[in-house]
Amino acid sequence: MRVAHAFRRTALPLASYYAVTLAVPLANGAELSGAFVEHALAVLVVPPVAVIVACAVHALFISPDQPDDDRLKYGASVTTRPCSGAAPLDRHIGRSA
Amino acid sequence: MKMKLCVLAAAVLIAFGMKRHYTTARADDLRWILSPTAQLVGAMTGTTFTWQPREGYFSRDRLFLIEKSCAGINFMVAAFGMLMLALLHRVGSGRSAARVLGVSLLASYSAVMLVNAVRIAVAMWLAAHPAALSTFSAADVHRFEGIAVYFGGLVLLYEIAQRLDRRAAPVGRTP
Repeated sequence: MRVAHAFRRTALPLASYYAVTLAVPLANGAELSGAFVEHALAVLVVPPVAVIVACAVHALFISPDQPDDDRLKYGASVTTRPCSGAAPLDRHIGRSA
Repeated sequence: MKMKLCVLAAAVLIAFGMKRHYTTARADDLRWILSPTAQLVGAMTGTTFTWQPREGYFSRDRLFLIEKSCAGINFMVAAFGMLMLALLHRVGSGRSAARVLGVSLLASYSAVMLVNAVRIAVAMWLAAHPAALSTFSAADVHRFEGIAVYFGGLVLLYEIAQRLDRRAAPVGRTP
């Protein structure tokens, strides 16, 4: 889920990078030599691997214990659920008034 | 819609012009991009680069040459195209179209200098520490590093542009 979201988020940078490094040379009639194929393979593989590695690093070190679903529902740090044991705010106001 | 198509056509022409200029240019013609890059790399690594006519910026103590292929024109074209597409929704009038084109050009020029300087600085560090990644050849490591830094730079630039775009005033209807 997190990886799919990351790929959606990086789709435009990825598309522009592929366009300039692969599509334009191919459209210009770049010779499909061994060197170009080797370079093209690296260009195709490295960015998705970088996205996956970044997701893994994020999951392991930056937000290791927060499930994806909670973050999607409630945002990164704000939760709408009340703290356990705390009385609702209106009850405190009613008592003090 | 018509204005957006005109802006896209202008962007394609600019990108084509940049690529064309790069194809025919010598190192001397690319000083507008090589010079600030060499200065930034020098500031990052504490190395002095001196201009060598027809070759580029050379560091005698590190035996490193910033030449034509290090200019990062492809990155600049990719960044410019990406920013144009990301900001296209802001185009409504001739004025906003010129603003989007100008901002995209300026941002891609600034980004290419910074990202390219980081790439070259990392490449210099990797060249000085060849044993760190001995599984791959030096050329492979240089290639992987270049792709990762350029792609990372594009993603970072896109994120910054998106955040600034969200913060900026909402797009209004323009005549």
